[in-house]
Amino acid sequence: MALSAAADTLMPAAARRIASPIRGLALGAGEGAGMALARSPYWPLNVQPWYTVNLSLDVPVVSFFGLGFSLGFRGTGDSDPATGVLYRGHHGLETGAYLYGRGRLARAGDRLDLLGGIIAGSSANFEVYSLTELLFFYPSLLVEPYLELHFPRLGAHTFSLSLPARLDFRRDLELSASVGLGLRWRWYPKHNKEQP
Amino acid sequence: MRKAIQPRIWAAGAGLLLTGMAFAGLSACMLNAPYDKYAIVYGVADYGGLLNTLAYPDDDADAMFLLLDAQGYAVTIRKNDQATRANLLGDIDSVAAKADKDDLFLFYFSGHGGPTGTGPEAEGGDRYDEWVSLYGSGYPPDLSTTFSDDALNAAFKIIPCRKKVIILDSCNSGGFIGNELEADGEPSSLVEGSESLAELAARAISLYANFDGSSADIPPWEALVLSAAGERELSYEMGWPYGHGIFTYYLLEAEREGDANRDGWVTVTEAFAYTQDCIYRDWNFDYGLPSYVFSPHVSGGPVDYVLFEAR
Repeated sequence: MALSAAADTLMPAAARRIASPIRGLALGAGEGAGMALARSPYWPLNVQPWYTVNLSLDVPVVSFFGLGFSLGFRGTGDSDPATGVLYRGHHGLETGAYLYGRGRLARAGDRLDLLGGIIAGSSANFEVYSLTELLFFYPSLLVEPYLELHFPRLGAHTFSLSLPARLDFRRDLELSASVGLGLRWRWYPKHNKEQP
Repeated sequence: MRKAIQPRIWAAGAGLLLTGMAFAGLSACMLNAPYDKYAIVYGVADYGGLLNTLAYPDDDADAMFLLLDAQGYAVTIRKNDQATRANLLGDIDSVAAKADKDDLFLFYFSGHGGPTGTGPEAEGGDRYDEWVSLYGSGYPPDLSTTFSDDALNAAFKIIPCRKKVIILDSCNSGGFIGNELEADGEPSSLVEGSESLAELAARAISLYANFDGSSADIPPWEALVLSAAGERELSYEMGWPYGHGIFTYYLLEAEREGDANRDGWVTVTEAFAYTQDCIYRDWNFDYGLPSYVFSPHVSGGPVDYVLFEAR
């Protein structure tokens, strides 16, 4: 908190204007879905659908920067079997740690604040192939730009739309990556207490 | 109607977002099999007195022939005294001459199998070879009449098909599966107990850290293996109500009952899941306890093949 206070004290006035209007710890719940690309050394590139549901905890270091943690379930479906070959679907636990930065992009009076941010981090994934108990592990890198909407009359709650992109480091695939759309609800439990 | 035991995660997730629904639809598109399918089916019940006679492997082979023939496979079937190592090598040559790389090749065997104490295999492999006993085999196994896991893998390499499936209804047949990617939660012997969740997680990380793309048995990039039993398990046959090897009895049903995701196709993994589910519920509980339990196994890896059209 001392570091946060010092940084905010040193922040120039211009920066304060773009600083987030809401602050403090944030608890979140999100979901996402999209398409993943997979290519093994022996079979061509193919597309798989994926989805995730997860919980997150954002811990600010300063008002516009912090670190976060996530825990969720991620599922990837089978690819198209049109050639008689398909990439197996898999699902399991996704645990992540990330850095984030964000700031205000626009404000519509007292009705709406529009914030923009980006998340960059990594995750450790423990998954099983669908219909089996073939447990396997792989790490991933994640980049997720997002827009966050804050309606002041809703107090400590925000909603965000994001574009998650993930690169997986699988040992049995030459390429495993995914992009998609994400939605997240965040609750800033200390927000109202800090407002005048 | 039996259902697979695994949760159908897409059914739960497809409604989350429109994008997810759109891409989920991709998985249900049509399969217009632009490839040929070849199968070699061997069943040995009568070993000419060299090994104890089994009751149903020749019936298993007949039933698999009918199933695969109806599914559009070009099937070569040999039973009992015709199911020799020499004939199998000849049949492999015959398929190799006709098939191309986009085709699917399937080998089915029902009969005796077992482990040998031939010592360590290649670096990273397991301790023992396993074998399937063709006609003329005795005990201990004579490698001029049997096929070990490594030898079978080598024999099939001349077949140019990139999609190969090996189905074995024999004891210790899980030992044919390449162990490098066989990280399934099923133990090599159910009687010996399962690994804990922590042990499985540690093994998954170890597998990731030590993966070098090699395997001593039949790796999934050479062929997907669907085995009746674990590496240290026996498989069983029984008269009424089965009249087949237990594994084969349920495998024959997989064409009708095994399409877990209802996309119209039964893959190797779906056939595995169906047979495993049935054996756990019907055989292991009713007949297998306490020591005759067994479980099918399947190759790991990221890829699966379409085995049957769901009927």
